Amino acid sequence: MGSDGGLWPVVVGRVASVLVIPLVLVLYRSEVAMPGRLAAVAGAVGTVAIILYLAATRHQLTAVAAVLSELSPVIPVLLAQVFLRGRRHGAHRPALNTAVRLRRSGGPVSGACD
Amino acid sequence: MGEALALASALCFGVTHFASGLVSRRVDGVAVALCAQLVGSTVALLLALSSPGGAGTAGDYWFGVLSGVGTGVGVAFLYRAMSQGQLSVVVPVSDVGAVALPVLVGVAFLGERPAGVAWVGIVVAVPALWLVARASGPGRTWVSGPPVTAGAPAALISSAEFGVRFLAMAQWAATVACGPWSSAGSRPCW
Repeated sequence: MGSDGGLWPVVVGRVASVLVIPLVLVLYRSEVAMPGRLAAVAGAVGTVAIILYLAATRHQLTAVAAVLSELSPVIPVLLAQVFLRGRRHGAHRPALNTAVRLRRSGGPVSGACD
Repeated sequence: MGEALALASALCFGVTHFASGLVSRRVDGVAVALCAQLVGSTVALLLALSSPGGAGTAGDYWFGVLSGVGTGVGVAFLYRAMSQGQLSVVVPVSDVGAVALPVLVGVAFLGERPAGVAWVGIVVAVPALWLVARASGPGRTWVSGPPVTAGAPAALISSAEFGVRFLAMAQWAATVACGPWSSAGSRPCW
């Protein structure tokens, strides 16, 4: 972001997101649990994604940047195909179900939140 | 350049949602969202501390807050939806809306006029997203799983929130580029 507001607005935005989630937590009466290291990695990558998106919108129209950026649903599908050996058609169970089984059999995604 | 950055952003958002979706199968999705955003905030803080940049304008922070609220509510409902329902339904419902909202607002209210080829891409992308995400696993093959509509309401809420997030971030980037600190000609101002 160079000589402008730097990344501080990103920090503020991230903190705002942390503050609103407990409202949803209360709404659903969800239990507070330690989701594991993988969730922590997800959060870190999410911050990188936001910074990249901001950089993209400085070069591109909102509509185009949003569409390109939201090609993201393709990525989980591809990852599931590659890492979870999910089959593209006629899968007998969704890829995530497979992932849970992998995890329960000692997969690499255990650990504390941070 | 803008396209490459947007695609890299898509890659990161995709990895984020994939990883969170995995965890949300066994832990409540809202708790997953909270953990992820806490770590994300820490990473943002570390990056901000280590990068140059001024204090920013009030507008930067307001759009940052708006984007953050959209992100927070969006991921909380998305991961909740992933906990409740089928990925093959929840992800396309969430993402098609998140794409459609910024496009509609950008064209209707912000006076954006994408080029003809870009329009073709936009028109093709929305059904394509749906089809690709659907291909991850047809609903009826989830043996003894939740009904197809499970998680759809939460996914719709997340959809609207992600739309808000993209709009807020884009507006924020625009104010930065149009402000006194902008590099000349980096983009047209609204």
